[in-house]
Amino acid sequence: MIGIRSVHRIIAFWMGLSALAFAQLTIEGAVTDEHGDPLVGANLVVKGTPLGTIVDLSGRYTLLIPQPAAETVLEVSYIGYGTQSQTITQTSGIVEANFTLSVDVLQFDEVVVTGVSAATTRRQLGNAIATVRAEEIGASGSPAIDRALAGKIAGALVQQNSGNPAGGITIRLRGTATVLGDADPLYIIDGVIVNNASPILIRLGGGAQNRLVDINPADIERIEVVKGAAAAALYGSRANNGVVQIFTKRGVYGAPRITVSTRFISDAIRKTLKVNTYAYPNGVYLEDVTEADEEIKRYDHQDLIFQQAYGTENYISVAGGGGDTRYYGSASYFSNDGIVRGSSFQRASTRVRLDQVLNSWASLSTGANYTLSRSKDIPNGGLVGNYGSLTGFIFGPNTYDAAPDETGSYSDAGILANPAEVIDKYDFTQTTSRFIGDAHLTLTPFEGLGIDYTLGYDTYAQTALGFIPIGTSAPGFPNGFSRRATRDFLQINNDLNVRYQANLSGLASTTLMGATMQYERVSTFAVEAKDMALIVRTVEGGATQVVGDIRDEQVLYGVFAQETFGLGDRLFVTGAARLDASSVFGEEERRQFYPKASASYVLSEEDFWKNSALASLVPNFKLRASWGQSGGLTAIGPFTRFTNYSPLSYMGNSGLLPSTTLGSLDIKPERQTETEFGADVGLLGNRLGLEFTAYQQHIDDLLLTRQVAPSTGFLNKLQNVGEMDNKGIELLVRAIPVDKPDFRWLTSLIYSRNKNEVDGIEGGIMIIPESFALVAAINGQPLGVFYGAAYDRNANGDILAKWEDTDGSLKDYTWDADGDITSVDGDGNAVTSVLYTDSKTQLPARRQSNWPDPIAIDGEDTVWSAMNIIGDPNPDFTATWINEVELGRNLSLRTQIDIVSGQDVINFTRRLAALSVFGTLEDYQKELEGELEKGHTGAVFSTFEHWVEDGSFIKLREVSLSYRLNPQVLGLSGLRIDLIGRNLFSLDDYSGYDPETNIGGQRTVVRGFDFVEVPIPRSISLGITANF
Amino acid sequence: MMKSKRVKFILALLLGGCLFLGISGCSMDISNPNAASEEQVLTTKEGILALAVSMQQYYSTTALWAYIIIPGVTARELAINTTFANLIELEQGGDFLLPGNPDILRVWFRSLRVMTMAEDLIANVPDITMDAGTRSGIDALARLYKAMALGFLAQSFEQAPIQTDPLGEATFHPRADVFAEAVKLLNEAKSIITAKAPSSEFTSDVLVSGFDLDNSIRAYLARYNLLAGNYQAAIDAANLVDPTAMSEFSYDSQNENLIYDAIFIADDYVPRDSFGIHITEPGDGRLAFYLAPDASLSDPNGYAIDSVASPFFTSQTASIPVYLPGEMELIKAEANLGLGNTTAAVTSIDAIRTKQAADDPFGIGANLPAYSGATTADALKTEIYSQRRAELFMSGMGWEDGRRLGQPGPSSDPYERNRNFYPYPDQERLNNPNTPDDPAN
Repeated sequence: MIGIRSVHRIIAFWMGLSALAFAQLTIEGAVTDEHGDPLVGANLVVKGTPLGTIVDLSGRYTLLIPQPAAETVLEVSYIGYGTQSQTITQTSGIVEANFTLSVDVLQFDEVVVTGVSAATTRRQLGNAIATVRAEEIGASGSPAIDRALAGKIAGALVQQNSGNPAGGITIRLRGTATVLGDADPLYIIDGVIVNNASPILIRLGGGAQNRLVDINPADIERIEVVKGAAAAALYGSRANNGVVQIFTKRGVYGAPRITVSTRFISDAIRKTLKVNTYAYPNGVYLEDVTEADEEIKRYDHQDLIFQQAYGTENYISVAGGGGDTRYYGSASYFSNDGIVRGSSFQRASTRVRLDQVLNSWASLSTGANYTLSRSKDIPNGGLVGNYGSLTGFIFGPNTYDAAPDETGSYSDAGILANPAEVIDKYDFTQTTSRFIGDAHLTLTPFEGLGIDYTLGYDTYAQTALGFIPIGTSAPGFPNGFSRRATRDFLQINNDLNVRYQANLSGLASTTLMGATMQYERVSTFAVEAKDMALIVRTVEGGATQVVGDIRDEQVLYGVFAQETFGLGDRLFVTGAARLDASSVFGEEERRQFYPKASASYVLSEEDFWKNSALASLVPNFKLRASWGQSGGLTAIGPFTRFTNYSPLSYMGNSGLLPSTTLGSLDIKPERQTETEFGADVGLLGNRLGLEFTAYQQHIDDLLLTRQVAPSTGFLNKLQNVGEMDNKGIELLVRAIPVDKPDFRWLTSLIYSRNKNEVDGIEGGIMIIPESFALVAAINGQPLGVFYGAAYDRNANGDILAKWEDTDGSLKDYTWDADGDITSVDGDGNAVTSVLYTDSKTQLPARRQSNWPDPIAIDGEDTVWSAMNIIGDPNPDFTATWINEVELGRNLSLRTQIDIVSGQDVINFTRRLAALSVFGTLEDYQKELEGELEKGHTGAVFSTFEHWVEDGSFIKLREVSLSYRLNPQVLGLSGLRIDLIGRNLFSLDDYSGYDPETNIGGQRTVVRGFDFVEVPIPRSISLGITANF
Repeated sequence: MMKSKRVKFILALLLGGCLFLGISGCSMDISNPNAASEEQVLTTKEGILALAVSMQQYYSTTALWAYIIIPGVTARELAINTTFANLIELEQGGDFLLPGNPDILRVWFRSLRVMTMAEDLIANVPDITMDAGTRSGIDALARLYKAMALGFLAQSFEQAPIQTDPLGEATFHPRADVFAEAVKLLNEAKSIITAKAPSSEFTSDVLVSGFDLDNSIRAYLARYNLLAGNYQAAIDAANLVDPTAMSEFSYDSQNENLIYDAIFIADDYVPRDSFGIHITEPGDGRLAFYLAPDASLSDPNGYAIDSVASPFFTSQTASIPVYLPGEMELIKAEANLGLGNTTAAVTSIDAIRTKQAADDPFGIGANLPAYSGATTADALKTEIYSQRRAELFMSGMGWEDGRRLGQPGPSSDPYERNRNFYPYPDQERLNNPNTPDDPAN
């Protein structure tokens, strides 16, 4: 202990800072619940100052106030309880102040800061703000913040796109607000705008990491989420996808608190695919098997691909403070193998925060975070690049042994790569070195005035290396391949906020004015080569080297003003406006204006309510409404407004060739207008809480690529021509059904529903690139519907097998052996090409003799397929049920069940494996065995509707069992043992690995696409956390 | 006292903060390091030179592909050998060829894109400070390329714009006017380089080696005068073309001859047996020059096809002639026939029929006996057509020649063109209100 104290002194000395020797006040006391049980970890702050502390394990706190004012207002808050404050008029000596907090499940007194004029209690808010606390993140057993958020926020759809240890995550807040841009929210950590890009520096089949994975969740204190324009207007042109504001841990006054934790993780695949085990080769059907046919051995290549994976996570933090200085420092190392053999992820990170009170009206806070992460990747999937391991498995055939023979060589008998060879021979890695730093200067020169200046800095270099040696089965690279790509990112934001709070005869006024400057620079440099020299792994060793060099820069300035009036504790009205200018906007559209207005009315504060019987039944009742606008600029590249001329070299002369895309000199951000209504209700002594929100978003000026007349000399142009809508509801019910000294049960239900609709697309439909032409944006439909060959159906939905003759009669198709139609209509014309308008989509669909193939269903009907909407990857609703049970003082159990309903998944994996040439999975086995009609899998191969499945699921997302003990040894002040299970079980009808993953990775429109992406593992971890 | 000091400090800080935000901040006008802007290209000498290079690159690698391949299928010089729906439509022709067909768009758009580049050069080159000979070279080159683009456009479409319009409202002109515009541009080009000979800077930094500017201008002047019906002018221009000159589009590993790729690598298009006409004469030396006999049939339509022997398409770096010297003699034959000079016409026909490979700079020689058929206008037209199909195989002229020289109209006969003109691409019709009605077939 002495050693630690010394360390503490050294830190203080090193910083050249020491406590000011003035008269000082010490406040101490206990904080308990209504049963008298201590509320360990409750947060105490001295209002109007940066001073504060937390309740220790004995249930008590001590707070030293160096220069006490005439009145000290001490406020205490704790999750699940109402906030309380006491005013202390003593200015020196020691004062005892005890608090007993009462239950408040909806946290009416919780203070939030995102998008509001000044730190504001939930009670006053005109819009819903979701908060997530450190304990919830810790209990998730998740190595990434965004992954931990799954299910915890009403109105958020969190999808883990890949089961790799650093697999990418997509978050959609109240649906998608863009087609061409990035639809993930804006992330801010301690005032720094933090980049969350998912660059594909190397082709891994489709997926990619998203860079939020660089942040260690153990450093997080609290997360606030605002979901749309109504709440986020102050963030201007970057707020269309919502804002996630993350606050990291800070030091607290007192002796150093050391936390050491270690966790052991075990991951396994939850479900493997059933492979074809039929003992005869392709094309041999049960009834055709003759004695001459040799039996063959079939293999399950998954045995060579998947493994039981292990990982560890170690973490240490020191937090403390004395005098005018508080500090927090942490270091962590996370390492986890993937369930795909050969894949792994390591992350080492350190974080330091220093809070320094400069004088009675100024304080400075600086933070620094360095992360070095490294992944070893195994390519899988086949949306971009077809040389993956699972890709090789699914293309099969599974009639060869993929394991190396005794000489160490691998069979090349597969259609694509040998899955085991991919794992053993390829070398794909990604390394990211990242620094995030911030500095905040806070001034409170006189009562009511607060000035904050923030400097944020985020920079990283992500380097991807890929190497395929000579002589592998890699399709397209028989002579090897090498690539190196580096992305250098830099973001700086400067923010100045000035707020003034005044009380104008009963009317509380809060004025906020601010300015921001945001600068971003990204450069990507890539070199690659094929046809490698022996042994050498660098690009230099290859022939036909290709270089890519792209540099982008952009600037955004914004100013804003916001005014909130509060009448008593019951009526709060806010008006705000933000003016933005960005280098990416056209000159004519450079300035963008975003207004906002909101109001909340706490009826339960009115006298008539307080004095009626309602008050005891419904102690809290608030109505809120808000309206606002925001912008989206993720679809605008830094230089899209220009007509760009690309360099070329032709016979020794250098040239500049104009793009076929015409510049858009008048380009402007996508604009969202959102209206939101809601109510917050606290019932039964605030033991039952209800939060309801309904919202409507309309996005105008949606950016779409439109065709132009070719006689302009160009083909297309990016234009603000589309529209999109999101409508939905969010419901949060939280209750404490049992609250006894030895048994406390807290239960929460979160339900969200969103309906998206896109409009303004030229010609009604836009097929999304790199989606096998199966994903589309279609007017009047949710974004990203699957569009492809469907069964032709009548109005009743029955599959049709007929065509309409000129006299209106329905006739059977006839065709020859090649599958060409031989039908003749009443006018004697061959029925070869039938044009008609689909009644459902009003889109022209076309059928012709060469496409697609006729389909045999159950050997009876033969039908043609036509293009139609065949599925929707957007869920109808999502719901989460969380239960937290505390047994006695030491044991707690938390469970989270996530429900996603009504999302479709296109099972491309199964489709491929069903076709006879591949024949890897059980579908083809059924055909071989005669359970399915001979030729069935081939006949339905091109009817994509056949391969769309319901991806609804109910998952046991999290189970965590914690045991706390208080051993009086080794200077321990607390010890906790956690057993955490993640994604343990899934109830679903999905035939593939996992309905959650998406080979489209973090792409905006390509969702619900299954093409051998790594499934999300079942993960169990055991952790020990010790506090000193 | 304390308070006022504090206020001063904060005011200074705020001011400093504003200055920091304002001054250290970055300009809103960030220039693009990845590509040049229109302004940078069109207002600088370097930009103009680079645009002139890319115009030639785009024409020879991309536009020319569309001119040779697409109308080649329509004219039956080539057969499709794949089951892509757009190609099946193209070979079926007639009503099956829909305005949404991407191949039609290729012929249309690539021409208009060449035109935009040429127009930008013509409009901006007078204002840029540069050597007068460089300016004259670029100006003439741009006019020639625009004329070539206009010519191929009018050979495929009944009407076409003679000027692009960035606002998407280009007006259409009958093809006769389009040819007239091409002739006007070529006459201008000719006088520009006559007035000021192109500089060595132009020849080394802009003009692609192998391209003979002088003779190409004259040859295309002859061609478009013929198509415009200006027979005497056509003869005069053809006479000025040096019969020994070779003007070629060149290719390298970065700028490949994509026709080679389409025929040899992808094998999507294959040359028809006997140039796709019934009237080929056995022993014609050009059969062996262009084709390598092959007994195979095309898929899906089963037409007799051959392999390619033409040295213009047998490697990814093979050069393609800008025009063939034999065309000049055939222009003279046809123009003389048009002027009623039958004897002169037959003389020119015989010059082509009896030409030995050694007498042609590209090695094309029919080595046939002199013409002995009837000398009626119709018979001679058919003979000229037959000679042109053989002499100018896969040069993008077959469709135009059949239409002009009285071959039967569109039919499903795989030896006759399958359409007269292409419909206007959907993308043009949907975005340009001036798009005329589609031709009947």
